[in-house]
Amino acid sequence: MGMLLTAEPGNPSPAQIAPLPPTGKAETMLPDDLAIVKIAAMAGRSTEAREKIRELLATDAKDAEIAEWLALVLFSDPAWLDRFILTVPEDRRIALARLAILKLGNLTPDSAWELIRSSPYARLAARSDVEIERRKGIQILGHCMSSDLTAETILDPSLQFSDKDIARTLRSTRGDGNARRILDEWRGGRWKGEPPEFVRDSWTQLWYADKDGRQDLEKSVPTELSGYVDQFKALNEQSSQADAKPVGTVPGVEELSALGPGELMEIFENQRTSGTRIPLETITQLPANLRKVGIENYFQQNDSFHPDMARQCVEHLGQLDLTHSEQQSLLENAATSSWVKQGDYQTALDWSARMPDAKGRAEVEERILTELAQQDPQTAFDHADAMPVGTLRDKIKRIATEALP
Amino acid sequence: MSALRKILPVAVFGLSLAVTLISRKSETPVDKESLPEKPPGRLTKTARTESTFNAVRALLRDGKINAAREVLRQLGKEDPVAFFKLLAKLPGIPGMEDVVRETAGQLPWNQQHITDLLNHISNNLLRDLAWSSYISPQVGILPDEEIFAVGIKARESRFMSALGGLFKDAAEKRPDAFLAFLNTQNSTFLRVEFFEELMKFHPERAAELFQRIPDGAGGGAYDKDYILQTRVEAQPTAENLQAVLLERGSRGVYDRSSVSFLVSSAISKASPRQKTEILEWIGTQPPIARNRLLGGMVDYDDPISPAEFSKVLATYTSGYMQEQALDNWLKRNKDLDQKDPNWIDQMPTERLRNYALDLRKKREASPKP
Repeated sequence: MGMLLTAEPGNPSPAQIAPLPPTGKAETMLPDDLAIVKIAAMAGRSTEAREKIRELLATDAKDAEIAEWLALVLFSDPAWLDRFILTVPEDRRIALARLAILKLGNLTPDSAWELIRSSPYARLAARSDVEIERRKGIQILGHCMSSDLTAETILDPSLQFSDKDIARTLRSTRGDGNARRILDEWRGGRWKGEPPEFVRDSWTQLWYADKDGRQDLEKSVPTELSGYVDQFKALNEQSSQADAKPVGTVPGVEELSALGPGELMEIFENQRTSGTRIPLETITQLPANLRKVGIENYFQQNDSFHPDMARQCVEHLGQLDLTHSEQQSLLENAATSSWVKQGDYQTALDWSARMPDAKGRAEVEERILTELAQQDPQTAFDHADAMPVGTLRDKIKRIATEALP
Repeated sequence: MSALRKILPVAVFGLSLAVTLISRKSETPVDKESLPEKPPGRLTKTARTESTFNAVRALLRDGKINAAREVLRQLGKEDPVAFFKLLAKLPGIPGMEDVVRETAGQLPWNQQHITDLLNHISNNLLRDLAWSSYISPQVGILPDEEIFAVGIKARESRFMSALGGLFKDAAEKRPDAFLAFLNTQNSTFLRVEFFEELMKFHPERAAELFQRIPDGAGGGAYDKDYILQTRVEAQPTAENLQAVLLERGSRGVYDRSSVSFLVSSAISKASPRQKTEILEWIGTQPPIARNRLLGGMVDYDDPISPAEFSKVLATYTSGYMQEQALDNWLKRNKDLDQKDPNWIDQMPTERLRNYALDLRKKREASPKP
């Protein structure tokens, strides 16, 4: 882009309209050392680098080499990509541009996003599924998530990124700047309904990063979203309070009822990694949507150091007012746990025998016995002797016989 | 680390990279007439930094790398904060490691804007180097808790590059106190890291300290899973393997979801004699446990010989699982037919020899490209 230096008002001198060289002044010669030329290019002197790129193109050099130089030039002059790419054979353009984006991000994450903002061709390339270093589509910017320009750029409506690319990117952003931008977008009405996880994560991040700013954070939320904010806060506050409570304390009905299903699953994950469990009793007292999700996923709390979890669950079943379907699900998971984690097929069969629905019961029984026959054929064979006559007994005997060494 | 962020309800993971310190690259043209009159020779700090930036860039454009580096080194001595601000905008200058190392140690200790400054260094190696150089002068001098609170905010490229030095020093000299501190952190993976270091200095204390991870501690079960692996890798004896497996309870040797993995972890570090002893021990276990444990005997990175593998196969009580093991072993030994053509003869039973012959026929009939 050139500067208009008018000799007289309204009458530009033609010679001065032409674009100036990048640095706008006479340049000293660089030593004949590629490393130095590269560094100079990054610092804004790209005449030699551009020449080198033309040379590489003409001599059919590999994309990796060209892209490396290209990234150095684009670092200071991102807009150049759209002019330069026209000189590249059409079938190579996308791959080369994607590689350049990758390498630019390795220089600084900010510069890769600057390129995306400045260059329509870069955007086209970023969306493409041409695989570069095992990255397809927007993953080409996967290493640039720490840049504060990330959320801002991907959410810019004029750049027209798809909802899928936006979600994918926002799931990986880091830093408070990005978190704030995500919350701004959410407050403005995007992502209606149950908020995506990255919204909750951004909220939580800022909650912890800026204790003094919490009130402002809450005040900024429109009333139609305040229900979700209450859920976020409930999770955050419970987490903060958990630190102050004795080790192993587990949230109660009142606390959990304030959460949404997504938050409950996070609590379950916390329990599993801590080696604690929300008891079944508590889950049966939660609102219906939470109870359903809680029972279906109850055994996701199953950690390796409390092998008694399944037994405690089964022993408690009779005392709780559970539906048949709930009992079915819990007994099946308990039986599986006993067989897989304890190698205790007898207990597993005892528990599966209590499943209310016959079809489901039969499937679990058959599965456990089949695996027993494969893993301990002698025991399965002996066990089959005591089974009632029928197809299952025959099947297990057959499998066990074949499975003997 | 977003998975961890999801798991952990703690301030420790409230990473705060609040303010971007990288000013935009677009240069606003300076209208000289609008600048206020300044006393000659007195620039503001920002203006000085800006002018150093321009000076360095001008040197780089002229190919004067060494001179540029010197200017930066000088800046680092006078104003380490400004140095790192510029470094973030000047990727790719070679040979900056020494300057970074020297300058990082000069930065003011324990301030949020310094954390942000370091985290904005885009070059991964230099960022990790800056963080570890920032922290290491304080290790063993300031309280561990304080150093930890600062270092945990580092945006690391290589895990533990910021706090590795602290963990090493503490594991060696203050293991009880440091573990007690980590146990208050409601975190995952920190205890694992601690045990990695502990096993180098005080392996004999591992079992005792393992018990000190409180039941129900935040992140405790997660860490304990990984620590079991750390313990068997550091001491790959049959005795230790058994003790570790039983940390999961009296039927710990049966757990299909983990025993094979722990056995293979032990095998990966075991001497030939230790491998033999482990196999012998497995042979003393009840069938279901035994057949599950054996899955780990085939060391994935280093395919075992047919003779060794034959002994493993002979320990199974299930022909079905023997065949599965053989399938897996062959997948890792694709060139076996060339290397050791008589390998089939070394299989322990006729059934397995026939099975192996069938597999070979199938491979020959439809060779993979």
